[in-house]
Amino acid sequence: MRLNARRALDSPLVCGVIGVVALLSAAEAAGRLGLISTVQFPLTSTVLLEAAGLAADPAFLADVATTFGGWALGLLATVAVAVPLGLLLGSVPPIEAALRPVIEFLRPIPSVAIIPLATFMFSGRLDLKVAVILYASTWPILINTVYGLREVDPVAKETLRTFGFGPLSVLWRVSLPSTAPFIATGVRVAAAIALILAISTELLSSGAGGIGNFIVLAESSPEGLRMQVAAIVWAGLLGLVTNGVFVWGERRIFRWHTARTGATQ
Amino acid sequence: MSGLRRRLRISALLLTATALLAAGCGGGGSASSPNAGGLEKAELNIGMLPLPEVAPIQIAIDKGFFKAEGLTVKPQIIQGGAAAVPDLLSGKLDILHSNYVSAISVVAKGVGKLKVIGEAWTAKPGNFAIMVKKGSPITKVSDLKGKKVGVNTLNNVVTLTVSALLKTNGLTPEDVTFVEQPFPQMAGALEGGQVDAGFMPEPFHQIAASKNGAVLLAEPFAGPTADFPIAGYMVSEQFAKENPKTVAAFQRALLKATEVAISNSAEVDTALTKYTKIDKATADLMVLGGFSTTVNETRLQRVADLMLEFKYLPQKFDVKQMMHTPSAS
Amino acid sequence: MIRKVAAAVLRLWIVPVVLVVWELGTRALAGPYFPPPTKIAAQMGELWFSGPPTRLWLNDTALTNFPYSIANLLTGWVLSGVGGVVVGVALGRSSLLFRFLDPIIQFGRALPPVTLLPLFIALFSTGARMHILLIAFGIVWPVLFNAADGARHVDPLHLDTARVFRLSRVQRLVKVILPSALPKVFAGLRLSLSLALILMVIAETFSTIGIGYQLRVAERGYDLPGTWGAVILLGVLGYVFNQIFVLLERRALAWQSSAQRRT
Repeated sequence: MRLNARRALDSPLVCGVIGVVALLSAAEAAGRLGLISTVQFPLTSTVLLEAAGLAADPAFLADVATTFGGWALGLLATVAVAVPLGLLLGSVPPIEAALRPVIEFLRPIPSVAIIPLATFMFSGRLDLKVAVILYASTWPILINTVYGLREVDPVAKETLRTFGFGPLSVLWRVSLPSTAPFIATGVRVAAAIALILAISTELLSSGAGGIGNFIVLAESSPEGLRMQVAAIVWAGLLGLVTNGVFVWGERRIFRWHTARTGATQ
Repeated sequence: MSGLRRRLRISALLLTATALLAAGCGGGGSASSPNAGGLEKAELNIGMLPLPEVAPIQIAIDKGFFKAEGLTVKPQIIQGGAAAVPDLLSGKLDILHSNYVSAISVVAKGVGKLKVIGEAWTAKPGNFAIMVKKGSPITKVSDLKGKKVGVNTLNNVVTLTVSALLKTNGLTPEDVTFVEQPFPQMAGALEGGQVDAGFMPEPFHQIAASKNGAVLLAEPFAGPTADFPIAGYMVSEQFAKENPKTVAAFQRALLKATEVAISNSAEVDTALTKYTKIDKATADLMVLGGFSTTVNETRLQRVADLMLEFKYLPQKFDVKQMMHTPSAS
Repeated sequence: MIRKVAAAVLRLWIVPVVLVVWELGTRALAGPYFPPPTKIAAQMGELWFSGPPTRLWLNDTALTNFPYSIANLLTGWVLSGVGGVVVGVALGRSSLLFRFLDPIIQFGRALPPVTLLPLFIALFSTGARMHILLIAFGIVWPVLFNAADGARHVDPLHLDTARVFRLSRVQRLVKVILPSALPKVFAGLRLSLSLALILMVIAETFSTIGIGYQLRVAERGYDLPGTWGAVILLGVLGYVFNQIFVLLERRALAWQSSAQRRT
């Protein structure tokens, strides 16, 4: 019996479920015992029921699809821009040195503050979303690519060069493969940022769909808060799942890399 | 990038111009009939807040009133009128549903020239309420001195109206603190004491009263603000000039739908469930009745005058410049 | 020294180039949405920097709004730093606790901060308390994850040594675990500092004071140079925060490594 309990506590799944259930129960109890007024904040069970209802609501599913579509397109555009740019900056130091002050100034500008400005500039809703995502998610990919190139084994590069390979060839055969794990990490971080920005853009500018739009629409109802919290639960789960997929993919593709760094640690 | 867009817009203009010329050459007969293809623009993007007052738009879509005029109207839900004005001016939206205080500020500040092509709502008794918590010591407006009043947006129609109400009760806006609070959270804020009184539209005040026992303190739209025009449909001046037939077609369909909304509240209830998150049972509780078929210049001037009185505007503003007068041609 | 300064100035040659191109470009476009930088600067000056030189040219608007925002931002950041390190180190050292809390933390991190606003308003109403808590909640994750990671990967040799010297749990924590996690914690703190600026803007969506509020006032008033000005102000603030942080980090880590060498 005790042995079984021990084994159960070794399983991340069992522990995770216990943790989640405990937190939800505590929140439910806080509402039921009157620690948090249910007028001010809905009960956990109410929210979960609402969230379950949303999963069967075709209108909400269409919103999720809209958000997801904008996210995917934005992320693709970001990868298409940031990776080549990162490779350029990483392999031609003078360009990097020249652009650094500009990058260091642009990077800290809060992406949320960019949305009103971008609203003025981009005509289509999807354009706007992609543009905002592009702005905010470029940085992790760009910076990881530049850092990754710096970590490339100089001996390998030198070896290829002595064999008469040109700079592009060296980039393709040595630098890119050894930078790939860094780029992948950057893309994973960018994916999380992109999802946040997709929803934020829908929330802060007009549009015809998306989880953010659902949250705006919920303001019309006296039960709006309940709907909003339920939508937020789905937003969180969506983030969780996409992140999980990226982590899983990274582990599968770059097994050799984790093995190598694991060995050096 | 933007140069390209401008070029595209110019070429679009040229195209429209050629199309107009072609239509003109084809003989004026078909162009003057409302149902035929004489429209400058058949597809309209309308930005609207998910409020009961835009129910006629949904009704006109559902009943095919727009379609009968040759229009395809696509509603876009917006977060606030102010944030959507750039969309209207840049042509992303063709028509914008906005409250008049925002619209007047836009024109008065010289940001853009807007024309009111239709009225959405005029305040009627029961539409809006200033509520207090059950058992609150605040029983009359003058008790609000030194208290916190919850409003959805600062410096807009709600604060303006509350200011007017305070003035008729011997207080000034400076005697209270306005606290921003989204409408769905207002009842909770009352309950939790984060605000002492809260401004609520339908159906929020009915629900707050029936579920939490909140009590009506005052009707905000009374006395100087009785029958106050709240919101209308705006287009940019340029759009009005370039698309007179489209605007006229939109107005005809809207008028028809508004008449339906006034005469048949069941139609409104059905429409509400489609573009808002208000369910049927809640919709049935609502008084509504403020749908308006005409834009009244004198009444609209009252809004601007009140804005001047409470320093929302630096100088007098004549609303005549916002009236849409269709040209005879 | 002079050569160093000259090199630094030379490295910044791109800045005037960008400014001039920007100025000329926006003048050529002449659209209302792209005011030239000189106009933005003038508007910024009028909005915030029209005060006397003794107050660094900050006027009353700037002095009521800037300190409020910055104080909230830093308070939230410190709060998240302390909370993140405490929880993070606990998670890094106890794999059981980690297994219990991991899904909750992953979920919390995945929530888009903008959507948290209605939630936080409902729970904490509007005001400084809500702003600080929202900032702290939104930015705690990088610190937390990095602290956990740092605490997990302490050099086993150091731990063995600590055991040999019979250090108490507290001593082990303070002398071995925390110092070895420090570089990672700093990396997390730096990230969350830049995130704090974003959360500050979000938190001040419902506010009547602060830099985020200034942005919203400009936006709602269709004051485009003002909107650009607020965005630039935020960029400058982010840049300055980052530079100060890097400076402090270098000091702290240098001190730490020298202290380690001495022992």
